[in-house]
Amino acid sequence: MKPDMTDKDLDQLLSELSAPDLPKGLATSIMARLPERKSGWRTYITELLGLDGLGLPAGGALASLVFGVIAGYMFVPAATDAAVNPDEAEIAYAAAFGTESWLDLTEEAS
Amino acid sequence: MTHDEEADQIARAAKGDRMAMHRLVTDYSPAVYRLAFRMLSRVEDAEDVTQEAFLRAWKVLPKWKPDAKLSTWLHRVALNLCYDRLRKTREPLFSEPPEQADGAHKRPDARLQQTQVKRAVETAIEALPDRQRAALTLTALEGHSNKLAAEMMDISLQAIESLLARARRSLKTELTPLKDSL
Repeated sequence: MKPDMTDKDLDQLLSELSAPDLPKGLATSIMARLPERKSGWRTYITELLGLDGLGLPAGGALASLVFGVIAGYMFVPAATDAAVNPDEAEIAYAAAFGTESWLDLTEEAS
Repeated sequence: MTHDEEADQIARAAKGDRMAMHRLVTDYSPAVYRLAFRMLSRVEDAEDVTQEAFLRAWKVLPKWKPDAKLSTWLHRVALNLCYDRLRKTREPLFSEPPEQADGAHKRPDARLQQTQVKRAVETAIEALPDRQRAALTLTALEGHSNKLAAEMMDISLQAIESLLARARRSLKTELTPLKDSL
């Protein structure tokens, strides 16, 4: 009867399983598949309100209308700054809703 | 990449900086790919999982929490994608990848793979339950600590230690006949 395999024996066997290299071109392929990142306050607000989930374009008429209403009632007087700087929009949002960061409102998806 | 460097790259990538994202992909994709390949044993599936993991990362980066570690998150997402694939397609694992004309995708250990010992080890790992296989891959094969591997698998330290103990016990039992070959 053969003696049992020890941890050391097993580790030796496992160490012989070398790792595969990253296929050539995979990183480039990943980069090519990344969708364009829309920037600016329209996208920021649209995503916040979940309108992007409705398939509406970030710069669409409805998104603009919604943002206009929000800017008028909630972000004044920070709306001007928010329009040129998303960081300011976050600050304005925090001021309006008492939340330190709107990132806290969102659970990361996995 | 240090934590500060990673945070900087993430912040830039979140704003649409593709160069920053490229740096993240370049730095982290090899490990994610290795994990996916060891779990799925097929080049094409490992590529798909790697791509999907980074596409998801690209989507969540604008909402990234600074205290999170991107590499850990990527491993976790890749593992979940692997579990999904393994559940859907219980096809024979460790099948040979299709031969590439230029040999670019050939496994670097192709020569060793011809040996019966190596095949037996791979087959024994393949037979492990998915979570035991993931725990063994992250620790024994990828060299991560039990603690980090537990974070990547989103389980407790005790749970991963239990998975590892069971995996090693199964492997030792299965591979004992090979002891003379060592």
